[in-house]
Amino acid sequence: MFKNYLILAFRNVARQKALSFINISGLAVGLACCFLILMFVLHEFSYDNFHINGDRIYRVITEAPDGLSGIANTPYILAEKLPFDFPEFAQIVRVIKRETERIYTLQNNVWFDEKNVLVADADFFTMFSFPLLQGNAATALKEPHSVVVTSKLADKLFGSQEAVGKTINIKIGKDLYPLMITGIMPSMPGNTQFQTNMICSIDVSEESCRAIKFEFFGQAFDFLQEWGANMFNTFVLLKEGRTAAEIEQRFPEFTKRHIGDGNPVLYELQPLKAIHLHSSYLHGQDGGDIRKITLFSGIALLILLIGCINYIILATAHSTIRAKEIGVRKVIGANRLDLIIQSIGESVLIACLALPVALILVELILPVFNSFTLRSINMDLLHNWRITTGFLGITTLVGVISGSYVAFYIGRFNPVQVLYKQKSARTGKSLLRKGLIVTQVTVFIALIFCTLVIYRQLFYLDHKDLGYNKHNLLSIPMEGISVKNNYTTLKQALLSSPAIQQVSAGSGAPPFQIGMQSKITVEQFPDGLDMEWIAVDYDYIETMGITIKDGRGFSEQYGTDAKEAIIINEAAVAALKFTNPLGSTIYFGDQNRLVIGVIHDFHKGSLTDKIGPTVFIPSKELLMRLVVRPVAGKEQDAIAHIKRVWVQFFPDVNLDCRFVEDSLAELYQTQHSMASLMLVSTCIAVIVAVMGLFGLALFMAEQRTKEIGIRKVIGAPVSSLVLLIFKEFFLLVIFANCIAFPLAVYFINKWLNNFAYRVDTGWWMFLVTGLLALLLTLLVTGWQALRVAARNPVETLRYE
Amino acid sequence: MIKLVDVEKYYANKFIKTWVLRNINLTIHEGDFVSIMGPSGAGKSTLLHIIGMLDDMSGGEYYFMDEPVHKLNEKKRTAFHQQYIGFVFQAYHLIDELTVYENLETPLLYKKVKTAERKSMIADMLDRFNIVAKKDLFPNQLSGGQQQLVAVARALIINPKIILADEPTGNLNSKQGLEIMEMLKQLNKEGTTIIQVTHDENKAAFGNRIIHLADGYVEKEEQHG
Ligand SMILES: Nc1ncnc2c1ncn2[C@@H]1O[C@H](COP(=O)(O)OP(=O)(O)OP(=O)(O)O)[C@@H](O)[C@H]1O
Ligand SMILES: [Mg+2]
Repeated sequence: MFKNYLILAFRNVARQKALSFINISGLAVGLACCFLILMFVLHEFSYDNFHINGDRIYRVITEAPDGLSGIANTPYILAEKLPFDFPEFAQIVRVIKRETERIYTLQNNVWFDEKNVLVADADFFTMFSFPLLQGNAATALKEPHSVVVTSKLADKLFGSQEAVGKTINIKIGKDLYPLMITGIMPSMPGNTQFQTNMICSIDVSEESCRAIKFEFFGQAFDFLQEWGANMFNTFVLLKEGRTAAEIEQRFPEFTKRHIGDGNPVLYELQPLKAIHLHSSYLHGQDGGDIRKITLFSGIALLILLIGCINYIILATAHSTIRAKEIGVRKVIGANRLDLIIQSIGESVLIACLALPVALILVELILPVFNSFTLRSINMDLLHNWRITTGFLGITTLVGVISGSYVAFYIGRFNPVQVLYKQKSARTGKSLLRKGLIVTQVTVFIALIFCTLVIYRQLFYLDHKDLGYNKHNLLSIPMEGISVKNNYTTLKQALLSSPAIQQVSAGSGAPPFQIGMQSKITVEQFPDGLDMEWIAVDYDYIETMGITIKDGRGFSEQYGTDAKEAIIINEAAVAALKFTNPLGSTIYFGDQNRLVIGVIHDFHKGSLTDKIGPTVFIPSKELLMRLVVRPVAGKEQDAIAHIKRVWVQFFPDVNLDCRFVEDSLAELYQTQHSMASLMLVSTCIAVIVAVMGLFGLALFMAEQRTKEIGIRKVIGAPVSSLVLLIFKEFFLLVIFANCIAFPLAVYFINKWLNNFAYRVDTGWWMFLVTGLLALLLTLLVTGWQALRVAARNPVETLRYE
Repeated sequence: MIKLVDVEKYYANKFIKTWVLRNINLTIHEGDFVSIMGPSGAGKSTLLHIIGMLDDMSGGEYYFMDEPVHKLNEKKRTAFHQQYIGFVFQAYHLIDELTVYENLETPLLYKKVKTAERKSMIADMLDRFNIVAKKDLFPNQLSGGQQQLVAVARALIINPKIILADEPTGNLNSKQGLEIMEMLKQLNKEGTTIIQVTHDENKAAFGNRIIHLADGYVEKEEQHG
């Protein structure tokens, strides 16, 4: 029996070439998208799921009081204090990632750049399950100045020589740290957050922290003692039988005792396995995002849905032609089950034919996909049984689902009716098929619409006036004491070039990282308000191109500015409930200051964030970033000059000079990559859907060949014949528009609401999308109608 | 073997009932060769479909080998149909995508006949109808007469008790038509009950009974030989 069906199915595929092509390619594209996403999802969910004690490992994070944001990092001192209060922790490990370090071996005195260096507590290799090729997991990081490197790095540094026992030098800031290699590990698997080639013992960080001298209003800031210095990831291993909840309950009491209750810090335990996908709300954390996964999966399923609907629409349309065969089968003894099996068998076969095509597509797309998602996923069908079974499962499921509907449709045929009425039922009549067409068109209209809106928002992000002049502005970090101490002379040297217009500095520059917050007190709020502050050089506001609304900027002409002046933004005016801000008194830091100016609000960072109340104080000590405004058109000269000056001043400090505009663009990288994803998937969805419509139109035109022939004979113009076919689709497309827009608006608003500053969905976008959909339909259906109408009616009418 | 008591059939829409068959009382014995005649639209095909259990009747009783068909559920009826009845159409209705061999094989597959047995049954049938040479051809590669021959062979292959033929020679030229009629006569002699619908007096005369239908009523019945 099965062979019989198989033969028949194959012959049908071979005979109905256009139909089979549309079916197979549509399903193949849908399957390929699903496969990609399946692999991606499996990969994302596999992050750090291989640690033996994984279920008992948590990361301590700092949650903001609003619960919507937080910090992935915790201070060094936390791990020092935790063991006294929490005996239920079996192990505590701090990890800190140091980027762009340089290392060298003493032997040949060659420098290697090594990104991603980890520094970790001694228990790292016993808490996490990263096996060592050489060395002892328990002791590898115990001794000060020890380091474990990957075999890959060891090869790079020492070639075939034995690496264990050798010393390498690593440079942090200005200082060199000699480290002894105590162990070799294999390369880190792709699915762990700890992507690194070397893990150093914790004392490296301790020493480098002590080396940084940082003063905060006259007080030395000790990174190792300060509870506000959130720099480390703190991982804890719970003893058997302990729960995170019982521990979290006791955190408030702990923080109250150590930090005081002025500024309550909310510590929480985040499960290790949740870190990769559920940390997007945390500062200082990159990784996956569960929302992205949902989005990717949703779109992939939509494309697969369109492919399936294509199949169903075409198969049911085709079944009216195959009605005779089905009637005959019933007459010669087929029962319902036989027919159901046959039709499911056929669709499974089509799906199976689509499978290799889909696999080839996946193989082709995977490299692009990987570079796009920054992952290293490979399709290892032979070894990864999850992927293999997943693929086969999806394929079969798609076949069965598509076939079931067709079977249900066919099962209702009355054999007598179909065998005696030569003309089978018209295709356009089926309500369900109409429903499916509407679904399909709805999906593609919604996708087009969302893509349009996303691109419009991106354009807005890139072009909105930010309140300062972001064009042609350079920003340079001034790390290390030597740079800061030489700021004034450096500024003079830079300004000596005719290519440089202005030079200034502040405690930050756009895009600002985490801002500095301090308590300020005013008359209206005697208890004080937490407010962000920016320490700036006198000409910072002017150099940035920030506009002054009221009063004046800082000026050296007023000798009192340094100690007594403060400038606030409009948001601060509102927050402080000032009616007449100029001349008001604000208590900040250690003294009263007078508001001398109000500036217009400007965007410190991404447009996802609302502009917060901010105050400016003049300072020469807290400057962390240099801002340089080159003369327009002379940017390259300016950069060359900066490089020359920098090397003269600080031969051993790396210069990291960037255009603010570039850094801003980086902020929206995820949005841009999401937009590209939407664009690509929309194109795919539209192509697949249009192919389906094309098939259906082809079909309807074929079926109505005779009718069209007759109409032509009695003198109907070709345009009216095109209209005849188009009419059938026109209403469906209009209807689909009506469903698509509310849906699309709902979803896109969810996305737009991520931005404090956003575009609105204008009516013209509905119009453009709707017209586009209609145009596509007209093209596709009209072409088929034209083809049939162009035929010689004598020929089409002869057979009957 | 077949007994129809007051069988009637109508199509009803909201406003009117269209009667197709009324008051049909008919007994057909094993070994009969019945010809049904009548003007177009008289209800001949409808009657045949009811007998063949392809169509429901609106009223009356129908006994097939003493089983009350009008009381059977669909599954039972399909089983009955599959077991005992072979159908032949004017338009042959072979499955276009299958070869002659596969067309003959299909009813056996539905009856779940074992492979070896199936092969010998098909071989027999090809032999008997002299179409061995054509077994790998598709229907559209055969003449109308040959197609109808295959259709008869397909009806016969399940070894039915009765063959129902709706104008089996309607699409054929007279020579081909005569061959098919001879074939049916031969089958009847070998014991198969046959009911055919025809417009042709000569062909009706192949049967031993002729039933005249008009407007849904049995108008008269003639007995032959
Ligand atoms: N689905 C239906 N709805 C309404 N009337 C129907 C339907 N099917 C058949 N009829 C009517 O039933 C009557 C009998 O049809 P039937 O096919 O049995 O006639 P017939 O005797 O076989 O005619 P012919 O010699 O032309 O084949 C016809 O008048 C036809 O119009
Ligand atoms: Mg008839």
